[in-house]
Amino acid sequence: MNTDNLVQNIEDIYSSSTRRKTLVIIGIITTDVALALVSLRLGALPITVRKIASVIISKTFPFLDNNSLTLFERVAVIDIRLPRIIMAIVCGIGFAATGTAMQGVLRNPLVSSMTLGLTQAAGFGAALAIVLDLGLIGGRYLITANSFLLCLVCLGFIYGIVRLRGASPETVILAGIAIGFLFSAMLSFMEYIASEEQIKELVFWLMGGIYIASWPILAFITPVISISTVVLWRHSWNLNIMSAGEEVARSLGINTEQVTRMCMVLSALITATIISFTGIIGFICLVAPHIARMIIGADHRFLFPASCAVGALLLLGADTISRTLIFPAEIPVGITTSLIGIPFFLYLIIRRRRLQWQ
Amino acid sequence: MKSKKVRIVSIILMMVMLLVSLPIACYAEEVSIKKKMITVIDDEEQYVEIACPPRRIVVLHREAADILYALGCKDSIVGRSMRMTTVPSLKAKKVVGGEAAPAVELIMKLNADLVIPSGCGSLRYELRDKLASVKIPVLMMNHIVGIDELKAKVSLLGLIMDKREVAGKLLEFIDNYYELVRSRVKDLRPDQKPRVLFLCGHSKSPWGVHGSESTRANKLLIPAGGISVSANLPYFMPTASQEWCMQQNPDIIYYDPFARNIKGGLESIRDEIMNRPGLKETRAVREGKVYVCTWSSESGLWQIVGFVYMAKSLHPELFEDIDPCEVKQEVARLIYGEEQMINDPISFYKWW
Amino acid sequence: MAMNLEVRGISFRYGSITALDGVDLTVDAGEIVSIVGPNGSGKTTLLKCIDNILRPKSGVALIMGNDINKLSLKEISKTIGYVPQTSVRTIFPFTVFDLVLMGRKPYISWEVSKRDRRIVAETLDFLGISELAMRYVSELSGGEQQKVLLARALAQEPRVLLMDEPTSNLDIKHQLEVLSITKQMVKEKSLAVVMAIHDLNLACRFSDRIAMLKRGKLFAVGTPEEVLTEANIKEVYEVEVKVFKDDGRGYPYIVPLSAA
Repeated sequence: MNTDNLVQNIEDIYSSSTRRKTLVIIGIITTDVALALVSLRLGALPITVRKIASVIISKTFPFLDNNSLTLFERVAVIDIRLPRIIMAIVCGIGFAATGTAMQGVLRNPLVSSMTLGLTQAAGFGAALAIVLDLGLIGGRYLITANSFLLCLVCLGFIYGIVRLRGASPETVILAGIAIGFLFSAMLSFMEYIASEEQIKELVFWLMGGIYIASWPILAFITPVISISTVVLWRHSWNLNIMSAGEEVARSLGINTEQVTRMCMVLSALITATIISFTGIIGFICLVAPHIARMIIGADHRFLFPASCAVGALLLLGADTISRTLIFPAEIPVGITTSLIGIPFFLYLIIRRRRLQWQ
Repeated sequence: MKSKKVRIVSIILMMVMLLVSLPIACYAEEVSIKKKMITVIDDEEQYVEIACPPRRIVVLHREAADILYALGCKDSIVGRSMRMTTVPSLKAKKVVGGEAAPAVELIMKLNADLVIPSGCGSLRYELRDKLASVKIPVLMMNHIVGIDELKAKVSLLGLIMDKREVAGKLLEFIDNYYELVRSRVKDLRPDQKPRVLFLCGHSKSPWGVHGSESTRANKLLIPAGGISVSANLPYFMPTASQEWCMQQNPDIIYYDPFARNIKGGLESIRDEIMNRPGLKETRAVREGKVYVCTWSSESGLWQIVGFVYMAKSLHPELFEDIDPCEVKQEVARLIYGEEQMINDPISFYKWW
Repeated sequence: MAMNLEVRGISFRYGSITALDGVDLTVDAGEIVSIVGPNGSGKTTLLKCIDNILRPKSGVALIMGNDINKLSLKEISKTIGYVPQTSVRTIFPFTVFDLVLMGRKPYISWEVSKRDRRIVAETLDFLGISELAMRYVSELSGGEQQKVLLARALAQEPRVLLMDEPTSNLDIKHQLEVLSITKQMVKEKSLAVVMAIHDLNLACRFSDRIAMLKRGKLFAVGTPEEVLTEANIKEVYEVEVKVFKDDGRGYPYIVPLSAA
């Protein structure tokens, strides 16, 4: 009888901790939404909340349109502020999911999209387009298409090495770092032969920014990121167990090689999709999972949504600051994320008495 | 004890003096052999001593190369950077590397007696220091932006190349066009000057603008009778808020892409700008007043063309008799003589 | 069911080095079989081959007569539990409950059922570590961590438990505690346990049978008294020992004298 009570007690404690985690996640998401609403209010044109609401309502239900709104107000809300905010959220989610999956599957808290050489590959792809005017498709998406393609080439390289040598974390990380050096050497060569204007353009490309946000781009990246993120989330149990070691994972019936490859491919796909449009924003990928882990613990079932919500919060916050701090000029968001994110991150590290990853 | 110390010190002193006087003696001899030297102050406020005229110039500065051509000194150029391929005679020169970081040993091998590095970037300082150690004179020259700067550089190079007369004619040519535009726009009231949003260079940052009066575009736009809405931003070339750009509701939009050869031509860039949310709704797009001219048409000798192009598009009624295409032909003849261009250094969207 | 695990002629090579060479072994339910042998004799490799973590070059492991290669990974994991040698090296902060819950993975697709939670709670209670449930694993002592690993394997509800050096990082008290729990659990849940172990005295005391490996070959198998003789130990370990028949509680006792 006594034992039964004790067992019941442990179960209750666990259930309540699960409930608490769910509440925390809902809390972060609520903060996201609140920040998005605040951000929707900020901009060059003074548009009241009431007007913002009526713009959105009249866009959704055209028959309710009472024609009291100016063209500029409509465009500002629908075509400028909304896509930008959604882009920040979607990219934040994508980066965070990538970081969480890669750190989990490679059992290494220092892993980010840089580790797989993807950012360097994207940079080289952009350089090919800018310096040599090489690329599959011309026009305004030349640079984007190129860096996406080179990310896939990079992924192909690493995948090939992993196929040959087995998907142990060491192999993946070493292959990624090596390929990264290769691409950054080629990027340097492009810089070497480039003209001044091209170097300027390249440097600018390498600084990330999401001012290209628009509905057509969102229509492309949102499905890729949301589907990949959900699939990664479904791997939570596998990631949990793999972080306890390869042998244990295998004895619990997990095909670790397959999971590693799957997570690697999906993460690379997400990263390629985002950074080929935004340029390099590496920091969120590294830090969002850590912040989420400090708040909610390591169970990937909860860590994934928490991390994505934190990522969205970071990128949206940074972008909101980017576009308001020195208005009417803007700061590239890659700079702002690091400027606000890193002090916050260091504060978290120092404030916790022990590091929770060891 | 003390006298011994004094002796040692005096011996050391004598040796030092000997060592110092040796190179001075050699130097004096050298100077007497050389025919003529000229000392000028470059854009980094450094004294540079150059043989007058230099016979073996390595030029990594496109605008300076154009001026050297215009001064009739193309035979004095022995080395160029990778991308200077406007005319066959220039393309035939030895390549010493990219503009930013050329190979110093190649420059040494060419036995250069003057090097003009590119007009910006931090690597050029490294180049200067390396070349200083092998005693090759380096003339630092910023990008030649604005008519006054252009005239100063033409005079300077005319002096160095010992071509004062040709330089004088060039200056006259520049003044003619400058005066032509200035005289026609000088009586315009501020409200007759169109408000211009001048987007700049980068393809990655679609909302980059010329944010100061001293950017290359604004240095031409303002004397040509336009008002640059972004000229008072506190940064040189910032990315502007998309919504702010729309709010400005400019009369005219300009864009100066970095690239000289653009797939799909300048028309495709113009179409993209005209369909951009935030610009689509502005007066400029509604009236079709969106103009594109390459970054390179705003500096060096070619800025005469850019200047005329801007003046004509700002005030078409005042410049009906002027065709920038003809001005471009004229400048090309001025620089390259009868030689045909194989790579177009500048281009602009033709709307007239 | 009488027989739970049978190993038939398993061989394994790491590159050109033969680690196991035709090992046969049978383990029944309710029985602890210890595998002893010097370093590099193939103890851990044998455990990994049984659990299909490593694929043997030849030979099979049979679970209740079924070839393990023909079972799915999930079926294997529902039958065999593995307790790894190294202490817990979770890089990320997992609580004890979370870690033990991982043992339920073969039964969980996504949602944790009430039954899963109950089994975890009962296992923790059984091992006497209930009060640690919400602590982070990295904060625990070596002995507590070993119990957590044991709990995770038990939460799998296996028929066979493979333990790799369960006592190697523990002090005497925890060594005895962990092995006593194991013994109790074998009797209560009728498990078959295969355990790689270095300490011959502990092996004597807690095993029903002992298998002795020498350079990948099965050298001897039988009751502790049959296997742990002075001659066998000298042959396999190259060490002179004295074996006392009775340590006072009815188990043989081995005292090392000198390296031969």
